Amino acid sequence: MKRVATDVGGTFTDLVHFDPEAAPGSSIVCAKVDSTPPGFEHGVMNALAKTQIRGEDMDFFVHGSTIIINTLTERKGVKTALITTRGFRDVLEIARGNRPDLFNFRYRKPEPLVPRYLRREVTERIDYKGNVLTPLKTGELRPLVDELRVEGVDAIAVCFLHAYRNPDHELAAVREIQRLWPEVAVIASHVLSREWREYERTNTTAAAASVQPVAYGYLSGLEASLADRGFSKSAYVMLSNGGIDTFAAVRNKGITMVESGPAAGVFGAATLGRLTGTQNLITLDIGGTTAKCSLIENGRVRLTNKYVLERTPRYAGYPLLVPVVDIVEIGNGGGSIAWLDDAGKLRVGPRSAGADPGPAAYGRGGKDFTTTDAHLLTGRIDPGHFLGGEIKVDLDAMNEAAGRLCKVMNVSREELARGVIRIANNNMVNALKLVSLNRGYDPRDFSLVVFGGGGGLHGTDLARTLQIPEVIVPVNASVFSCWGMMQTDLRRDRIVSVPLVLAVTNASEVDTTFRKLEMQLRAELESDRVDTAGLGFQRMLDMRYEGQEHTVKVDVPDRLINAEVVEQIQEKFRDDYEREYSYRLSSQIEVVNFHVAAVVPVEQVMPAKPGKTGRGVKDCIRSERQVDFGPLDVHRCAIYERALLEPGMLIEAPAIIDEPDTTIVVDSGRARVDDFGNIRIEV
Amino acid sequence: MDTLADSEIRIYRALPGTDTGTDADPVQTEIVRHSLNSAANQMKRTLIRTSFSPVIYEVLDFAAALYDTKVRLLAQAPSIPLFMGTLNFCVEAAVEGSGGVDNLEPGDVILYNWPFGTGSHAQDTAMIQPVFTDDGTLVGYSAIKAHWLDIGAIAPYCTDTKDVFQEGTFFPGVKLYRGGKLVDDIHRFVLANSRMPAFVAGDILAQATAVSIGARNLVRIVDRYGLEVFRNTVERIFDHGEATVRSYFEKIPDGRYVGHGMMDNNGVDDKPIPFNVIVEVRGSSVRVDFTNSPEVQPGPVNCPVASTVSASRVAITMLAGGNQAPCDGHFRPVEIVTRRNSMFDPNPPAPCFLYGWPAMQSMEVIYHAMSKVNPETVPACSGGDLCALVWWGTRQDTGEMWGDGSPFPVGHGGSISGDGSTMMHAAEAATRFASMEVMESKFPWVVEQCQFVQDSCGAGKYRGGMGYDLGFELLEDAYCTPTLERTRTRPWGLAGGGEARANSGTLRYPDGRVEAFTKATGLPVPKGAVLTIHAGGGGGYGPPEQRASEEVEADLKEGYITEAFAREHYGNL
Repeated sequence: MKRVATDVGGTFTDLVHFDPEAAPGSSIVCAKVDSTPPGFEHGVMNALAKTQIRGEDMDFFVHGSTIIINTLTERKGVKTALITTRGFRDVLEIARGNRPDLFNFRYRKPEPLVPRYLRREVTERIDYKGNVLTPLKTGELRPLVDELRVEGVDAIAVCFLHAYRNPDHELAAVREIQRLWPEVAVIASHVLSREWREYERTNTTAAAASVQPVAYGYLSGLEASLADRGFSKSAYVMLSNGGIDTFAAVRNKGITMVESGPAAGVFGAATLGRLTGTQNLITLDIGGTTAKCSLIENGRVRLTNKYVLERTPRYAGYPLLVPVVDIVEIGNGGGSIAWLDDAGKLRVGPRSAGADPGPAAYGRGGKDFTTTDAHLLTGRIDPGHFLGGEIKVDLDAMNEAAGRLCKVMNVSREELARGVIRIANNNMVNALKLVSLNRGYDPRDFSLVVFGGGGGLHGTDLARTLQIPEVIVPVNASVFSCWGMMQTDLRRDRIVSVPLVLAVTNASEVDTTFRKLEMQLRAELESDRVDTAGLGFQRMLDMRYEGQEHTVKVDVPDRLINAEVVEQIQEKFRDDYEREYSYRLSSQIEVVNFHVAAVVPVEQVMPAKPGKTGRGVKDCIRSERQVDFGPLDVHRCAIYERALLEPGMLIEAPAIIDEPDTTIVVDSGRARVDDFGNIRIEV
Repeated sequence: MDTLADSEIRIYRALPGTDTGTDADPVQTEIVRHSLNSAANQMKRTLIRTSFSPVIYEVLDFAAALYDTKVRLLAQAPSIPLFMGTLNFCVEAAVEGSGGVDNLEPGDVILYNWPFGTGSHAQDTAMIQPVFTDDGTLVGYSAIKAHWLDIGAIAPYCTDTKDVFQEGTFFPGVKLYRGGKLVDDIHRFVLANSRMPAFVAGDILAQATAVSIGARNLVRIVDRYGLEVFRNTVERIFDHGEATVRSYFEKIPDGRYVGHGMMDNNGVDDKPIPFNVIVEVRGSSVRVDFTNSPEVQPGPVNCPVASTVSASRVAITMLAGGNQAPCDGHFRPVEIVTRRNSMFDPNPPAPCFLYGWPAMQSMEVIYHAMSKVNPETVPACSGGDLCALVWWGTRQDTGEMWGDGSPFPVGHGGSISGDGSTMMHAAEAATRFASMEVMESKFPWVVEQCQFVQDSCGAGKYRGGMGYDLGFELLEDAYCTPTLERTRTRPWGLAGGGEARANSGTLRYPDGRVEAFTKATGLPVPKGAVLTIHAGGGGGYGPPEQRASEEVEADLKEGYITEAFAREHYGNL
């Protein structure tokens, strides 16, 4: 099966084409072209043109995009209204009242996604058991819809209290709105989330409505362009839950692709692990502005249903109740700016120079000293081959940016650069700890997979600090997300709040609930004309000790749940809980959410192993230079050209391995090129 | 902490810096600071995720911090600011109560809740674990003070106690864990004094687990960097905090600035209690003077000195702390002066259940004082309260006792940086109010409404945040202790801005009768009644006539204000 994966980012559009029948060494073709906002589909077409891929060269097309998250963060969604339960239209604005920036008495809360004059109420009320207290007054919708039409609204979010339990009123309201105004986009909360907490669900629905016409137009446009190119097979979208789904399904639920790119990266790492037999991985993706990390245990990627858009330690952000790969993100990347706070202390990030003006060394007017500048100053990045030689390093600008800090701190430029790298590393170590140590995982049991432009520069240092034995720098690290997408299974998640006590006496209720969810998912897939051959289900329960609030997600076997299985689940919960929180209780266990993932597996890609020419490792050395390895001192070391490396080669530290868009620092231990061309460093 | 005391006046200062003779590496310092903050955050996360009471996991009514051996704050997880500056008092008192430093062993956890040591009411119970390295060196303390649902008092929540012994059971520094082992006698004794022992038992375990996680992480940090490097970097961290606050006050003209506050009453007598706080700036130092405070009160609005000190430090940190999480160094330039046996420094057995209300208000009074010299630096007054409601009752179907308490947001004052929002009072910034869907599933009520009230904000160039109404319709008979404060005084505006709506409460009985309430202990709320809090708005900042006309129009369109309000405050439209 010939496959194409494309990933649209704010700056670049990546493409990977895989043809299992092509000659070895040419089975994988990669391309990077400029993104083309606002018509992003043109970038995709340009990438296909560049690689001369025709419609008939593709049996399978998968697509990831930052369009949804960018639409949300740039507030470029359509004009959206909210219809909610009478008495509760201000829930969206009052939110939870918290102000995470504790010592800032001028804290500004996130602006509500729907302004108050477009938040409307109808008479209806359902209680927490799903009983109707006040029937929906459907007649109230007509004048309301007329007003919203006059206001020029393009989308309507419908969210009623306790609709996660009983969606009847939402369904009736949506039907009526569609009858009155067929052209408007409308989405109800229960379609997106069956979890309680009205502010979070209302916000999710408002966000989803505001991007829905955008997603619809975008995916329809892309589909049409693909058809023009002669493509007639299945097209899929990469979702934040780490699965793919059909264009048709995602078109009406665009919000589910909010973290499409990062999710693909994590799944790419999981695939790499499967291919190379490394099941326990910590992933680290270092870009220009942020570093994102996640943990994969036994090949399983962790999901969260508590995703919050734009949250920082000092900003509450916007909760979105959609399943998203559990990623910890911090504001430290290549463009992160080094600065001195009010009392003269050195800090790095979270402010970033981004791509424009970029680090001082870009010579595009950036006045700030960044992490990338520190790598250049220490000789880790080759000034002669910066970004594959595309950018000529502006040493004067870089030295001037460094000089300003050096003067105040009274340190040399070299000391400054070392300091910046150490602080950046420490920030990343804390993020890596959050996904590992803080959850009871021992980093010594994992390998660190690094990708993105900056992964190879920091990986070994971080691994040493956390005693992670091995760093893996995958082949094609810069288009890694596409690689992940190409082998992602079709996946739909459904999470439903059904609080109950987990006891052997209600094993059959647990079993029935799972089966009902699975039947619904199967029916939905079939009605979307998805080929369900090979369909399997992953079952999870969000559980807690009776009386607690917060839950732990526990995997549940996909078979008949009887008393014995319930006991196993209880034991598994107690074990998982103890690993994370260091104690176990004998008290009763409650289930809060049932979570089922329907998975239709996609045939795995087996890339051809690169051949060997018998070239010696010495022949891969491009040059030599002085490199400052920080705490490991300054060494004159060899610079290797990654493109020339072949499987089986060994490189002893200290060394630098260069690629056009990334640099790999081998400052201790040794690096080995594995059968697939990945670089594995024992630190 | 260094206390200078004569018979009448007490002065509180943080310990001055010590010169370790060596200069710690600035980068190392930054790394240790991060690691300490991360350790404190992990304590917080553990407590939230393992606790059994909404007041902890939803409301986040606790503070978690790490201290060095001199009981100087190393790091604190973002939690209730007002608790922040009291934990050092708790550590000192707990250690002293349990027999002093020499009596500490690895694995000990001390329980302490005497209000005149913790600064809080009896329910806020501190757990302190001394932290030892493997070789037996004491390197600091891991501490959490958290709100327990009930630990015995005349009611689960009180507004009219006459002495502290009506307010709960006290643990004057007893070891709940000795050498890592739970002391069963103490544990049983504690639970026997609670109306809700199951919740309390779960929260005790969560709290003990969280302090031990803090202790383990502190040891890890000391081991990693070595004790000497650790101590040197800590000095640098403190110096940095001190420098931040000093650089702020250097820019403020020297002088004495007076802020005015007003408590509605003391919960027992229904007389307003005016008070003032004097903020005196001299060079890079600041003195917060409470010596003019009213006499100790016969009702529970007395604020034990630890919370007076804490409120002052929080207020100053918010003003001058460079938006950082504070450490002990931030407090060095700040001196707090109180008068013994006054409302802000009561002696036992003065009642102090509502200690938080004067403390909270004193923060805004400090800003009020600072506004005299520099109104641009502070916001106008908020609703000035938590509008907290504490509920309890017996469930009809199970016969079990239930209880819950929650604070609610208020409108916040406008400031030079824009309109005010509706959110929690600054003293409780980290807390949030519970989801109504979740509340309805646990407690016998249906929420009737939660919506802004037009014209409840103070007018101004930058208007205040909105007040709102939140109503609960009871499905079973229950009791409620409302604790409304600042119902008699409207939130002030600044620099020409207008006043906002004050807080109030109403109870509508099933027969249609409506009664107002403010503070009440155990108010019976029968089935079918609707209890509503009318949360206050925030004061405006700057002359209303300077508000941009498009902003006024937007407020009208959004329904924040009526046309009458616009005409009255903003003139011709």
